[in-house]
Amino acid sequence: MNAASKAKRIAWMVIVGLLTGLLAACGGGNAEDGSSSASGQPASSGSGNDAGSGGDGLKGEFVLWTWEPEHPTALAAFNKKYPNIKMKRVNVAAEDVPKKLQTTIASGGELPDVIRIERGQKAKIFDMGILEDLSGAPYNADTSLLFDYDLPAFSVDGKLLSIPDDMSIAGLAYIKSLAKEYFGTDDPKELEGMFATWDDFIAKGKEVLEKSGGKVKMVPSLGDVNDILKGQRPESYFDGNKLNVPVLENIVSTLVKFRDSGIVDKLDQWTPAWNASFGTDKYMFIESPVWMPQYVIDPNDKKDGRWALMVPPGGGFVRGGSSHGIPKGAKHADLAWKWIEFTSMSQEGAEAQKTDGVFTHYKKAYENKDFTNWTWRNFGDQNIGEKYFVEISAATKDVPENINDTYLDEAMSIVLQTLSKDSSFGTEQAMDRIRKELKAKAPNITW
Amino acid sequence: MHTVKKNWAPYAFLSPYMLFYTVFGLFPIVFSFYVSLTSWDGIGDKTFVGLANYKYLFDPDSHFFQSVGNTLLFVAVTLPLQMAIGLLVATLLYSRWVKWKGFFQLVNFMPYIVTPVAVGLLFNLLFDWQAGFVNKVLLQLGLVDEGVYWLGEPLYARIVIAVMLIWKGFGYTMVFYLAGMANVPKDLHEAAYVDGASGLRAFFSITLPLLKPVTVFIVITGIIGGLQLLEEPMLLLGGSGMGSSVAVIGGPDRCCLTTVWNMYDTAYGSTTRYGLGAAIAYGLCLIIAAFSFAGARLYKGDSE
Repeated sequence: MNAASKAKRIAWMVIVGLLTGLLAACGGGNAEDGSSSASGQPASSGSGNDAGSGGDGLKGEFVLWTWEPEHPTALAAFNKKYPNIKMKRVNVAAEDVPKKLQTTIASGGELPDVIRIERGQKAKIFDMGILEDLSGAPYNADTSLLFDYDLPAFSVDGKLLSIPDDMSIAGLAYIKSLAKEYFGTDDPKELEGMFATWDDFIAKGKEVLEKSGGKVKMVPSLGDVNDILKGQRPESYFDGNKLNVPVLENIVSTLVKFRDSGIVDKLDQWTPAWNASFGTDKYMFIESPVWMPQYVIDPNDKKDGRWALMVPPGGGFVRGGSSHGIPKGAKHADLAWKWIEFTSMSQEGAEAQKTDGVFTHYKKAYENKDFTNWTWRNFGDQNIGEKYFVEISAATKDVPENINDTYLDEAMSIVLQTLSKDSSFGTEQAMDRIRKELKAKAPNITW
Repeated sequence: MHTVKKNWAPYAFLSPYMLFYTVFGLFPIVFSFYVSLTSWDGIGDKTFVGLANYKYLFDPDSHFFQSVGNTLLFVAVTLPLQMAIGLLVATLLYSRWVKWKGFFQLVNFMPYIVTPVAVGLLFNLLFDWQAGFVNKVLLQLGLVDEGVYWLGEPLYARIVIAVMLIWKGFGYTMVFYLAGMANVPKDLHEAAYVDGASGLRAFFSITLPLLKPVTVFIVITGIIGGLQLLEEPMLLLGGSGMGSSVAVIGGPDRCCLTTVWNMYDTAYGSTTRYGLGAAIAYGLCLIIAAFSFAGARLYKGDSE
């Protein structure tokens, strides 16, 4: 063999090697645990004990897409019952879940075994038609374990697509000293009697505005008012593609009434100013879902015992919260279901989750007074657990939403911004604006 | 036959790159074009719709031309100012009066390397209506009675974005002008001074004309980069609420909706119309190509 042909042979080997390496890199491959379908950072959790058998003899690892930090107590309790089931968490931001699902499906990738679904993305994910019916076989979820208002909210066409995880019923929180000063009482029951309707609320708000010389307003943002009114709407905004105009118009006109009364300030929700307002004496009321005391009021108000919780005029409503669904074709759907069932639909799960700061939708747990007993430093010694889970829960309803609700939410955010800054912008203009926005985003919607 | 055999080596050695480009460059380009001719939500089947998506771009509801107009407005306002400030700072730094040149070069270039996320949040905090530093200063000085709703009014929101882009971009132009000035022969200036030219005259008659290739380069790359504007306005106006909160896409009255933001929102944001998103991307591609072509002609004319 001469030198030239030897060099040629080496060159070929190098090229073939390079091409093979390149193709191998492109391939990706399917890892056994299915985690390769996700680009987040998987983190294995669980007992790590693959040997032996326990908990229905189920064994293996399921993949969960979530943005939540691990709930260690709940996971430990689950692993105690099912020592051979491991969970692999993949971090996916709440707002990225629909996008990641779509790109995974479009690229033919492997979906996880269970996904956490934030309420804001729920309609969009449900609309994809990729979730299993958990009320049907092989899951056969016992829906009587959940609250009555959960079923319409988590079902589409009679199919239960996800199981709610954390409680998100909402009441109205208020600053006690302001209530005492302007209404003569800070007792929740008396205030609930005083505010039977939102018209009463507006009338009293005007008095507060006058007495305080405009320094104290009832609510910091029109967005807060919209959250409450939307949550309390008697019917869905949409029946398929048909918009329920009277329901929407009623809410928009009430928002205009709130704006015109001057009792609502112009803060944008979730801005530093809005957050900081909870530590001041400028606003008497704020919507308060179950997560609000812990995650919003507490970090922004250093003083103890300033707040109290009441049932809002018109009853409780649902604001935020997350649920878990199983994608069709999930490899380890049986393992994922055991985890959902344990954490969200059992007494042991409810107790373990409570230790981790999460109240589940397992109805029976709330029959026990010890379980509902919950206080938070900002609310002094008021048993807000009982207020939320007994009184507000009893007065809460929820309605189904579909993909069109996400388009309406966006249109409403434009309307809310315009209502706040332009006092001449009325109901008619707002409805026209909504019509225009919906036509652009979803031409199929009919009025 | 002999020639082919003899010339196999370049093709073989190029093949890894060509394969890489075909998979990650050419295929997505062709596939995107195909997608732009369909109606597809990424999950169901693709429905071929011909040029309907492109036709829809001319419908005001698509916000395509509004977004192109917004983007061009930002480019038209910010690029000349970035260049003017960059040139001014570069001239000062290149002069003999400024000491610690390296330090000032770094300070002025730093905004360019700050991540867009940080820039968006920084300006969001500065121009917040209630808690923003700018409004607090204006109120303290008694220049306004009530805080200005910077991010809620179309004109003010555009001003804030323009300020943000100028602040972020002038350091980039400064670096190019500094490099260009270093290439201007010193003897030309010396000859001008011997002939009695003032510093200003030498700048306008010697430095500036010789910096023309640099200027043309900055204009071309600035326009192309400007047309791809996305992160800064999106992070400034997109809100930072919880998962459930919905931000106003494009800012008040969509005054700051850029073309790429429109494409992103159409395909991955509030709607999942991949076909229309791809059509917007191709529309933007045509606009960038037109500007690049014009720029190339300008550059060619300049070099000739």
